[in-house]
Amino acid sequence: MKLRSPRASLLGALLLLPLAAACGAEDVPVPGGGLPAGPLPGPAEWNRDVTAPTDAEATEKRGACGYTAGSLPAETQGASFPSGKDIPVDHIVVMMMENRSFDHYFQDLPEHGQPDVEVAPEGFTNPDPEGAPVAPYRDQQFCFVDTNHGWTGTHRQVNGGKMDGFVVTNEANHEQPANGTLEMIAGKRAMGHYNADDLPFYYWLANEFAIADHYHCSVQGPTWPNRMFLYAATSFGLTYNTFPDSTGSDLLVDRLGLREVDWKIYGDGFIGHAMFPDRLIEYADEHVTSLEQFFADAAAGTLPAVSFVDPRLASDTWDADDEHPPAMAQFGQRLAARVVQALTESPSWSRSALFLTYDEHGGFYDHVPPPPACKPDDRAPLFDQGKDPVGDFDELGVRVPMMVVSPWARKHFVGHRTYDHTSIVRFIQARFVIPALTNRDANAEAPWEMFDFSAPQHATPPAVTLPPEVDAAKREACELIFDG
Amino acid sequence: MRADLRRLTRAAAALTTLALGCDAAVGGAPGAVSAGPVAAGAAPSSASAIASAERTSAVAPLVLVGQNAAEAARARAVALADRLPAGGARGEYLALRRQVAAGAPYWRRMASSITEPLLGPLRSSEESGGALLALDGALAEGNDAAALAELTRIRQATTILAGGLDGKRLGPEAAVEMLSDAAWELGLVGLEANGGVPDGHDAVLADMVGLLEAIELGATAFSASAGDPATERALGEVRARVATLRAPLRAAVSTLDLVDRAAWARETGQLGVAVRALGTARGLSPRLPYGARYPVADNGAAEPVSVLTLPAPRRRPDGSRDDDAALIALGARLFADTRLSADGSRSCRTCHAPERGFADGLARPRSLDASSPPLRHVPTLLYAPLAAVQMWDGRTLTPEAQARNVIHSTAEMGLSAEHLVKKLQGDAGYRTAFAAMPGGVDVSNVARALVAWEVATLVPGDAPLDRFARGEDAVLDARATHGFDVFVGKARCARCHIPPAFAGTRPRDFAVPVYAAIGVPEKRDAPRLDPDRGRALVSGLPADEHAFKTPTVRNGSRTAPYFHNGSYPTLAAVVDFYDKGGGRGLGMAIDNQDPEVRPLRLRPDEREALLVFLRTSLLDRAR
Repeated sequence: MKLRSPRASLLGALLLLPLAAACGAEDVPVPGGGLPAGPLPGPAEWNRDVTAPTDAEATEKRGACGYTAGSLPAETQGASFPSGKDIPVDHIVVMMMENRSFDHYFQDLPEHGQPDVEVAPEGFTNPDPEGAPVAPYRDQQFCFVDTNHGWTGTHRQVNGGKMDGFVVTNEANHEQPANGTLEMIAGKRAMGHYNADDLPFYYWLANEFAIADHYHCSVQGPTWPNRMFLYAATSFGLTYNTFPDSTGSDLLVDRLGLREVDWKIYGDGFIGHAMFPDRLIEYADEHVTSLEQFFADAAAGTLPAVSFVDPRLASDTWDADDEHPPAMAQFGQRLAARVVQALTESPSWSRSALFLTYDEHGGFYDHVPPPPACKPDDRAPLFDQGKDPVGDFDELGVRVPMMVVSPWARKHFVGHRTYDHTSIVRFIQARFVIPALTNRDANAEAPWEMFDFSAPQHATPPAVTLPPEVDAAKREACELIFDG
Repeated sequence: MRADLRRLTRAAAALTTLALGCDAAVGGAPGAVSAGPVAAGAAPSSASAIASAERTSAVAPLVLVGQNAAEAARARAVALADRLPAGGARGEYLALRRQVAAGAPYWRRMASSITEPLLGPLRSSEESGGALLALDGALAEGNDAAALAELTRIRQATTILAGGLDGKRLGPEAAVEMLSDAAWELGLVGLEANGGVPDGHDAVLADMVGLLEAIELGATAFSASAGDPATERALGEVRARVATLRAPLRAAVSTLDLVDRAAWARETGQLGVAVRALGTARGLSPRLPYGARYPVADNGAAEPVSVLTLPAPRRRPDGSRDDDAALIALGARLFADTRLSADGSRSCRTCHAPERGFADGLARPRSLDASSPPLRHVPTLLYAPLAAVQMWDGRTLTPEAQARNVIHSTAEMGLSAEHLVKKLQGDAGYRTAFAAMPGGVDVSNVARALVAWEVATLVPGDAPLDRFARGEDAVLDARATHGFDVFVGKARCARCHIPPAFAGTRPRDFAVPVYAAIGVPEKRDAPRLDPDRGRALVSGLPADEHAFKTPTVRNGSRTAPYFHNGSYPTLAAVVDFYDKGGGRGLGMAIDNQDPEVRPLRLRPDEREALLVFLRTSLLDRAR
């Protein structure tokens, strides 16, 4: 049998084209953000005159899911909130990591400088399969078997708001590592949490800038549907990880394009937007580049108006930098720290805002029941074969961390209002005057309370200390368990 | 068209930007490697850059094999989509499956997150499916619209995979392990026991052919850069093994045409040996798919691990095992000690009697608690240390938890932890034995000792099929061999009773359980469903109503009666139950009955051969 068919040669040759560009050829700098003067580009109706509702009216109507797709942010947020150029941010950076719940990461934040956050109270437990209570505990086994975050599993974890299914749904869930024991797939691993010694950079970040403690992921399900809410404010009906049928619907980046707002995706390996392959193929040459380019663009002050910075997603390894178990969180923490550091040291810092969040809770415990949510559209949930049809898109998912890093972010602040991934979408739309994609983002509140646009509280950015490299002993222990 | 392809491929490569890194250029076009960014983070030292080039010279061709397979699969998906509305495109479908199987090992290893929508997550107990299995279901139902939707997803996934695989983690050793694991998986697929097994036996055959291609192309690509005599010899051996395995497939239309699949599966172990020899020829030490409990080779890489091979006992992450003779002896003593029950009337051995296959021969055991609902049939403890979960409903995970649960259960042994400790501390022999363990006399140490004994004793692995798997010939007669073919083929048994445990325990990690609702009636062949809700009592899921863990059929002829309620007295009765199509076949409406349980229409000779296999081939020698 031949090693390489003619097709292989063709493919190899074709592959050299983008690779050559990636391997050393200098990229043409992309001009920074900001919109041209005069009427904004894009459909005329996007530039319609708006009479803003009062804050109270807007809040009430959003709570009743009264706004619909197409509504402009100024029509839904409330008169006291800024829109367009009044938002002093020209470079928005969105970094979505993977699979960590709020309590799992920040259970100890009240003891480490920020008593205002809501974490699981004393006495919070989940029953194990035999009914014995399992309390949250500090986990120092940093690479452990992935936890259950499927649609069905998550709905059982939430259990109508009792938040008591985290142990049972993880018992014997998922495969065992090469050198693992059955104990490694016991459900109690979902009750582990970290503290400031384990996640020094994240605990520092949460103290220094603004953190939201009622930010939920968008659906009680896995990665792809949740990321779709960040990219499109809907999962197109999907409840499981697969390619959506998004025919006829805009993504957020499509809308940015209509507004002639420049945007880029920085990432290596699989990037989140690859879940829309047919769309992204159109964009790849112009808008997709390497992670390393982010650091170059930040240093050069050439960040676009909107950046998506992706870790190397879901490679299922203990040393991945997306924080998805079995990856040690510390690899991703270090990547996030480098990104934050690059932004704080960038000439663009004074007009920037970074949103750091997580796609979903990964299967880890959290004690806050997901609140009701507005259905994005008329699509009924599409279930994988053989799955029980439970749940709908009328509830948010489990809480995940979300932090805002910006000169305009409030210092040492906790936002208590309720958000989901479409709150970030809404902020981007507010800045660039873009209508809502679906009924979900139409009724989303942007995280205004986390900003103070009257005066920058971090005009001089704090010095970022990179967390230490993961030490050799921990790496070896994880390598032994997972790679044999 | 060509321009389209160019644009697609370029763009897809950009989707996985730098997926190949600059390394890919080494394999794609010698000399084209440039000094670009190598990896996120600091610039590499020149030494590591050289090591990186060395590494990829062996591996980059493998990356291209995976990408070529994806490109070919993409074309197959497009072709099938074009044919679909006309119907009758089975050949196109089989060609697509073959091509997906030929790429799957590469995609799993180098692009797991894109492979999940295509093939489903690897060995996960909750999620299942993937577009390929959904397509299989849609075609079986004749639902063209659903099939088209899944084909679109397959096209999308393969477009991305064709554009660039993430070869960064694929060192030469990992590459050999990928191919070695594929050889092991080939055996699993050949016995129709893999997750996501398609409905049709012709589709299984297509998967087998595709996996063989994956291994042969990979071995060839891996060897291409070496050119030394040792590698050439190793590659020759791989090709010979592939040819042996391929020969019967060429003449077959479906797996039902294959004869002696036990031998075929065993041969996949030899293919694995040959593949690993490619690595050892280069001084690498590729890992086995898993270690053998009863090794037959004198060095690791030469062990012919196949799907029929029993795994070595689990180790703790620190490498230790509970195989201390004193601990095992302590477990043996505890197992037979009636002081472990509240009223002193029974020991573990009472219900798990060695002379009755470590079961009790009853439909249901007597309960010590008159108020409890009737207990379920006592399952054999034989091979329980291999089980992914314990109990009929899987409510305990580890054998240790199973032991504790039964000791404490008021209906079974009824002894509290405190009471147990008190009773054992009254015995000087126990005090001495437990003194050696941290914690002394306590419940967890009792369970640990019991399980140490179970692990040492209850996986004997000397049934004729086990001896056959270890290389002995003439241990399976013609009828047993035929019976095995019926078991894995027409009777679809191995789809749940998965080798080598022949139970609902998925290899290779033996940690993912299989539950199935089969519609066991209250009384044999009576059309009234047994009221026991089974797994649903634990999981709360409608899909788990009346579902139970698939038990082992090893030593089945010793462990009558059968099913969770002991309602079927003989293996023949069990086979006839399945032959009729399970509970539905008895006339009950069971929404969630496992689709593999369906009328089988076994011929008398097939039924008889299956029974011979069940009665003799999985029977350990009495001791």
